Amino acid sequence: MGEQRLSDVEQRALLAVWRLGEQAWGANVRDELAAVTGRRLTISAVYVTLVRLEKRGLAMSSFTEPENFQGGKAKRRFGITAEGVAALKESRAQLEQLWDGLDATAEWRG
Amino acid sequence: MTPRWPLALVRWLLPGDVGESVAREIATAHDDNVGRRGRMRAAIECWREALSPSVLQLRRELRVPTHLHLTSNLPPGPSVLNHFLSDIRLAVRGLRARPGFALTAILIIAVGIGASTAIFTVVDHVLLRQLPFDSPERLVTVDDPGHTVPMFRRWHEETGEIFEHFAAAFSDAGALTGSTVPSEVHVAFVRSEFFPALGVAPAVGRGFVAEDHQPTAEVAVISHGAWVRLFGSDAAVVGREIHLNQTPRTIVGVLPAGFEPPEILVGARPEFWLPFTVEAGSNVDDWGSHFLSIIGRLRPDQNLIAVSESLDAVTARIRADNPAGRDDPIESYGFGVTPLLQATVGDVGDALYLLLGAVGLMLLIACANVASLLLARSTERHQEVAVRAALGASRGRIIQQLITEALVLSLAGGAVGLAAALGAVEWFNVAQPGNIPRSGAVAIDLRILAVAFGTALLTGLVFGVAPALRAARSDLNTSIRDGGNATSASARRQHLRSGLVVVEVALAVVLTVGAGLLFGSFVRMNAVDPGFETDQLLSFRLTFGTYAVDERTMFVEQARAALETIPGVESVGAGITVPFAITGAGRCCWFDELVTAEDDPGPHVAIFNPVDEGYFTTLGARLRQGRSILPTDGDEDPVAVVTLSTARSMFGRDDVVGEVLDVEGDLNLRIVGVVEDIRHWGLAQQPENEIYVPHRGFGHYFQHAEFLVRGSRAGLASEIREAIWTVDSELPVDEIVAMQQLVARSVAAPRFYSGVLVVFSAVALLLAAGGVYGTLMFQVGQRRREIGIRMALGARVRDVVGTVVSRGVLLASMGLALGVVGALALGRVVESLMFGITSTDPATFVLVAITLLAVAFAASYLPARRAGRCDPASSLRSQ
Repeated sequence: MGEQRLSDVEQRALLAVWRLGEQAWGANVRDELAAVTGRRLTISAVYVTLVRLEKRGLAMSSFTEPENFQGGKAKRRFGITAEGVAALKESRAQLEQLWDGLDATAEWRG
Repeated sequence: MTPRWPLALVRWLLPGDVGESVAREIATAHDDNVGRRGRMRAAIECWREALSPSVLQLRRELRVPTHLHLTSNLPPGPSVLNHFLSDIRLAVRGLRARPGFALTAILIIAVGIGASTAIFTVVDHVLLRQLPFDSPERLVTVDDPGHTVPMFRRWHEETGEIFEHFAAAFSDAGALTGSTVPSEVHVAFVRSEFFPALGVAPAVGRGFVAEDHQPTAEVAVISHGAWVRLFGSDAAVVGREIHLNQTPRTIVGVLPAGFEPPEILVGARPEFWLPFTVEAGSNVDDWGSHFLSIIGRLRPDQNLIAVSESLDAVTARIRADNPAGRDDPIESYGFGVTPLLQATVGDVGDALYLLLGAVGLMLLIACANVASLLLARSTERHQEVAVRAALGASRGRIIQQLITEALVLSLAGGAVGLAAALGAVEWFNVAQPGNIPRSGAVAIDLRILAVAFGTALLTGLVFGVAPALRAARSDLNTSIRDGGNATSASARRQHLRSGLVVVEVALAVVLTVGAGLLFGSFVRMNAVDPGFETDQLLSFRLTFGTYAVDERTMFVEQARAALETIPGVESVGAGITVPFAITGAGRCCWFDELVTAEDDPGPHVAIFNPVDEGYFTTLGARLRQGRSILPTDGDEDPVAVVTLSTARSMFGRDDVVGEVLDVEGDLNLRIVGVVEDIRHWGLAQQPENEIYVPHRGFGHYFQHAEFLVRGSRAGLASEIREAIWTVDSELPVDEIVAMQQLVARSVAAPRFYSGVLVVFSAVALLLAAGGVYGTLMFQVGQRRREIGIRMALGARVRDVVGTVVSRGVLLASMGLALGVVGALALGRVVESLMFGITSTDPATFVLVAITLLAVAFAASYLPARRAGRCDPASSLRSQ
């Protein structure tokens, strides 16, 4: 599989899924993203990105066991694939390459 | 409960497992939000999720195919169906050509159908559906809840041939301790026949049996909710122990999940059920302790009237051989029985049917309005109809087409109205306005949908038929020759329109008078002086659990001392009940005694309130004479403070300090003070004989005490809890509420009804004004030539304007007269809901008349101005 480019949103969503591990369902991904960006997305908006990533083979999803109480339902849990990890590393490498040699703490002087 | 409609929308837009996953996540997020942000915010958030554009984006992402294909290929050959389909297309095309007309009509119908569907949904859910029990029609309660133990016992023994099951119940707060944090829980006490009477069998284990009434049987049945919450739905729950009021009890059964016990018997959803046992010599086994509700299941061969009579006979017999020879006026009248459903909904039925009637009136006004619009349109379309007739269309076909158009309008309006009704019902569930019983989860289901659809069809026929018949009856010749202009032929149509306007105004008047009367009642009720200061006053309840009676008084003293040390607390008081803790008909926690004054012919029933020395000060009650209760008042030399009404009804004067009251011959109370009346059970409460006595002398027979705290600082609630826990760390502290909130809650029902009616009447007035405006505007347009000629002949602008305005005001006045007659006739309907106002209140009628005439004047003035601006030359030329 060739190199896959990730948009900002996709990078963040994928990282959130990775970080959350076993707990990576829509609402948690949403909360994780909100904590970083300060913007609270709807659950369906999170799904748009995750479904797109899944179709590209960068993420996957499966159902959990039904929750352990009366009327408890199974949840769709997302996970990151090996391709997803590779794509994230590639994105990071590209960014770091671009940052290389710049003083991140310096003020812009025109 | 998660709102159903947003989730249904998501599932519909996103079929398949992804949609299901999204819907579940939204539901879970909603449930979390309810706890953190409140039900209202959670519901809004849920709708925001469902209506978010990203749902559509996700739908595209999932490439959901569109299934909706509109067929345009009609089978060949004329048929009724074919005609119908082509009529629909024609109607849709015609309406799209005149979007202003179509939108106005659809909106008016939507308001009518939306409002009636929403109200009908509530009425259906609360009043029309049977209770969810086995053969619910055989369930009855004995009237006037608050029965005594001896009375219940005798009834139970002697009514075996009337009732298959006969059970008593009451509910109270209890303290749940042990494994969890001490919490206050709702406990129902019932006789063993309670569950069989309702026909409910426990889902796990067993219900109560007669042996459970032995004092040694420490058993409990728990609700399904408690089973899930405390035991994680553990199937082996039977035999486990809980600590209720510091007593260990063995769980013997779990009630089924959907079981909703009747609120009037045991309050809202008790979690714990205990067998109600009276030990011999207990202080509640007394003719003066009224606290039981009674449910009976009639034997199949019994009917209500016969049962009431038999119960009366038994009651008379019980009274005759009552060993105490007691003649308690409260027990001295007969007791009827009321079907459980009727008792559950109580007088809410009156109010809800009133709203249903009001919304029906509004729907009629909407019909009249749209009919009037259609008449105007048929006048305009005269020529079109005439041409079609000339080309061979039969009268029947023309009528069919016009009615189809009306039906298209009404169904479109109905669809919009239904969407609005869904929103309204969702709001109703979240906001729970008006404390309406059985209104927990009102929903629009297939039955309601069918009613809404039927209403829309009927509405379409009501407003469509008359204009269609009119239009089809026109004279071909004249119509074509005149090019559709107004001639004498359309005069009859104008009469019909004017008639419709008069009807609209009349209906609006009826509705506005009703709204005015109810709103006036609400304002008057709010203006009632409760007899104490409601601001900066907090109240809460403590449940004593296993404290012995003498320990309770001690505890109250200690708790008060602890509360008084909180900075910002001005004063603290306690009693067995505080005002507005319980409002309406159901009363808890009171006892009455027979009291005789000196030189007084007969005993009076008086309600006794044991209170402490801080009670009156903290309430801000107004002492008229003498003194309040003092810390030194106790058993010796018993004293009492009476209300002004008590003084007046028993002594016929205000100054009664020093008088002595004889309580059932075994106690003499010396009156030391007189306070102004304090409303305990709602602002609408009638004055009753109330006697306040020192709690040290009378003790705390009840399982709880109510506290009052006056203080102005924010955040007092948590400090109050901590102060109580310094005295007893095991004691749960119930919700701490502001008195103003309690008072507001007590008038929630009249606020809701009068508010809804005011909105309805405003809409009705607006529609009526629209009717007047539309009719006059149309007439002015039709009569431009005439007006032009008159002005050319020297009529002044003022005269023209005056003619039109006076015509509008004339129509309104006729409607007003009719409406006033109608309102006077229907006034009795609202009488039961009124307070401090009569159904013929002149001020309300005058105000409505003035408002209506002002509105009619305004609605007539715009068309009149247009008429006055007619340029004689141009209007003559253009014809």
